[in-house]
Amino acid sequence: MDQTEQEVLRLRREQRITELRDFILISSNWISVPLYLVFLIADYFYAPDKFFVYFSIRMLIIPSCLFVNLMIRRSNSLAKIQALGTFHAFVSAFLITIMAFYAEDATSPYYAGLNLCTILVGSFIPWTAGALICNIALIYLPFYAWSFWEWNTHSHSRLIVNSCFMVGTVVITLVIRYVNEKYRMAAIRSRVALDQELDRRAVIIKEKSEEALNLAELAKQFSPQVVHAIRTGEMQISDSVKESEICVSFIDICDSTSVMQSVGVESYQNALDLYVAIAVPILFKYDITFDKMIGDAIMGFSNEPAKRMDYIARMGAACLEIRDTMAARDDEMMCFWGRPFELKMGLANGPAKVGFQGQIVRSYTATGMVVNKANRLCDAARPGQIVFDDSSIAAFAARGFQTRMIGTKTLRGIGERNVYELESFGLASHERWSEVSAAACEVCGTILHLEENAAGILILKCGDCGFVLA
Amino acid sequence: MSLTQQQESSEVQIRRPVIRSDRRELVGMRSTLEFQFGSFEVRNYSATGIAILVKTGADRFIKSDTYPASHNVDGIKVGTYLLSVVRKAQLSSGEGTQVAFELKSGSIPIDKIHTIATVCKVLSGFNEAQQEMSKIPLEFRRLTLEAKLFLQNLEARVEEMRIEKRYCSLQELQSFETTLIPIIAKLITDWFEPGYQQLEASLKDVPAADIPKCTDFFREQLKELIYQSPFAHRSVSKPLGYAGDFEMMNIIYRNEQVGTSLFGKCLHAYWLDHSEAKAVRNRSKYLYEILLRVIRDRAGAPLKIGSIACGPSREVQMIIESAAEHELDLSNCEFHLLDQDVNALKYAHEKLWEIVKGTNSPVRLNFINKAIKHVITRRWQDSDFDLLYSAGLFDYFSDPVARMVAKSLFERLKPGGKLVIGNFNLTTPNQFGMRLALDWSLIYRSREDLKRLFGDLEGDFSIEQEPEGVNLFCVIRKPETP
Repeated sequence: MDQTEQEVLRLRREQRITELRDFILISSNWISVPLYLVFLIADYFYAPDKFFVYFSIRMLIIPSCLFVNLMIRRSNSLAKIQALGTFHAFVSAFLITIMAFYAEDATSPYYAGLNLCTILVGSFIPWTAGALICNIALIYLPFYAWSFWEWNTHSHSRLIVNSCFMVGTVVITLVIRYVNEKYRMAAIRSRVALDQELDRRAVIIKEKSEEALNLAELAKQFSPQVVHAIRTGEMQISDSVKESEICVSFIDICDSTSVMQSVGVESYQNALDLYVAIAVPILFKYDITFDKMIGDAIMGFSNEPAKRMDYIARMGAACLEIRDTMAARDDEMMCFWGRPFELKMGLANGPAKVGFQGQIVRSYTATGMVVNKANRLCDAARPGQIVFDDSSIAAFAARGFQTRMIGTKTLRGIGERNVYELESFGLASHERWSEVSAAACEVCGTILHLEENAAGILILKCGDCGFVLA
Repeated sequence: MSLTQQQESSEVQIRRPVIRSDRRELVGMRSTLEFQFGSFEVRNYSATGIAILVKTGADRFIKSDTYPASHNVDGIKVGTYLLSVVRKAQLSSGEGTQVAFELKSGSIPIDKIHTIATVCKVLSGFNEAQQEMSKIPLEFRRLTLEAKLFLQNLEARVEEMRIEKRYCSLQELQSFETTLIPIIAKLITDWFEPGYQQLEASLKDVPAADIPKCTDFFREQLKELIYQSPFAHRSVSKPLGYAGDFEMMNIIYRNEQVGTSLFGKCLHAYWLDHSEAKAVRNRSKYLYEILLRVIRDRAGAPLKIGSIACGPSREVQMIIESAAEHELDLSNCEFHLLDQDVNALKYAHEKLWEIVKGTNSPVRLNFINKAIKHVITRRWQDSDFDLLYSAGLFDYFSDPVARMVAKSLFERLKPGGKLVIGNFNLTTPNQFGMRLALDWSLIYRSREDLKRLFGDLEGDFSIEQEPEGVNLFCVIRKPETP
């Protein structure tokens, strides 16, 4: 039996106890005594000479009602409640049997009272099957026992006729009970299904809320396309830290401390907000993870969680675009900054530990020597320079970026390194890098760009391998 | 030394320029000298001499001897010479020895060699062309030539009829033309409708790489005929770099009987009677209705409307012209018209300002010259539109690009704003004819395709169409509250 069915039966059992108690209480409080008193009218016309005897017999229902009323309020078990109900039904029926035989015999029309008892007891009161049979038996058994005790040829034919009516009553009662029970069970099943659906939805809502919160957190660090890929399951992001090759950049604002002192905190903050609002979306466009801000320096890294074959070139392109965009908006920045807004950047490529790190505040971050190196390179850069070392030169050269060698510099904690400057896009045409798309080529991972095909249709095409996104 | 000796000496010291005929090389052709003892490749020649390459055994050529030889160019005998060795030189490339001869008598027939070279080149190109032609199915060639014959015969008949009217008055001539042109246009339609289907069927087994050869063949054969129609001519010549430019839209809207000849006018009418052209005319009416509804609903409240790839902005012209008639309050209306074609914008600017001045309309117009890719890359920052629409643009986008542009445009709507995207229906007839004859390729989409592409934009989504059923319009309404 499955869990749902078990739950249905459990609820039915609980309801049965409550309903039984209620029905028996109603019967004993509101039905038995009034009905019995109403039938005194019948007694008056049926056996006027025995009226007071009948009255006395009928009054015997009162102690039964009182007893059942008292006992049932103290009972919680199904068996006890059913027993009390059965007792009350037996007493009610037995009194009718007495009245029937006292006036006449088995042919007395008072047998019909037994049918009324059967209908009342059997149709609506939610006995268990066994209790119901017991009730019906106890209603009719005394009558039949007395009938057989006083058996005579005159009454037997009437008994048979009356028995047909009794059987009919029992059948109708059972049918009514069956239909009742069926609808009751259906109602319980619907309720159970509804409860289960509500529980399921509550779980889903909770999961979705958590997911939304998580995605909202992720959206602070990852590009919209990466967040979308995580949300749809295209990309998995592990909770654990792993080692990976990444390209790290530090983008620092030149002279920020002195500017803050001269322009004031509010202007400084406005400038910073504008700068971040411009720079971070550019990072996202190239699937670069925004790691953190250290003071006013932005740290980002490429190739995690979105793996890209051209991750170094993407970082270079992003840095160039940030530099050029900020230069183009220098007039705007001047309003807050009070002087030309200049950036210096350092890039480094190498292995790092990447993942959700941190005990109290967890964020997706990278740690390792490559991070330090990028930081040192940034320190070594002059205003407007994007500086990198040997670890990235091959990737930039392969793409046709314009670079030049600055010389050899000593980087604190790292040692002497050849240092280069990323000057411009060069042959790595700006059109290819900054157009559109965060969509990456499905073959080689390079950023896709807009192009018109021979038929004049605008398509997304990979500049490296010719893949066309359909 | 005497004065004479001194003079002679100085004359000797002054180098006299040596005049000789140019040495020529034969490039891309095989030229050989056939001697009794063998055949050798000719390296260069002039009128009086010839040089060969001897890979081995150059010793057999002795300066004092003469050698008879016949000269062949690409297997054709050019002449027979008597040669004597002038010099031998070892080639630095290591190929062998160059042996130079001079003719003992006569000269090398330079002109003949040149003629042979020219003929061979022409024949080689001809052979290539024939090989290319063989890739075009016979049936396609037959149908194309049949079409050409049909149009040529028809043109001749039309010309005959025109000549008969040459002494008529202008009015009679105009009446004659306006009667004749639709009849001939219908005749062309009736012929080409099944014709294009047959042509398309004949190409079904042709590899994709060879299809351009077939279309080039068709256009080459029929260019003198079908491109008499200004519409067809512009579509193929693409003066602005693409078919479907704003002037083509104007031609469709004007729907006039024009052409370089009477037959050209008939062809022009044939094209403009196509359901696609009707759909273009209908869509300006459809967009006009949308603008009318939106402006009326706003009843004077500020309204920001954007048209992407606005072209001549016919619907905007219609709105401003009819504003008084419909009692429209345009004082708070802003139209932002974006197109990457500056000529289209200039035209729209001219027309609209003319109407604005003529009607004293308070409407505000903003013309933006930006490429559609700037819409995608967010270099166009404008937003908070009540209505953004684009007809005749998304047919040029592949599915991923269409999705990106739609998303970008949808984000620029304010809550409750509406985005309308037009696209030619997948069931559009004459698709093949447009591609073949007009070199005009579009992406056709069904309702299901539009639902698939744009259905996940979070708004109320519906698809409408103009009366021809050729142009579908995807209408997406942004929810009032996010």
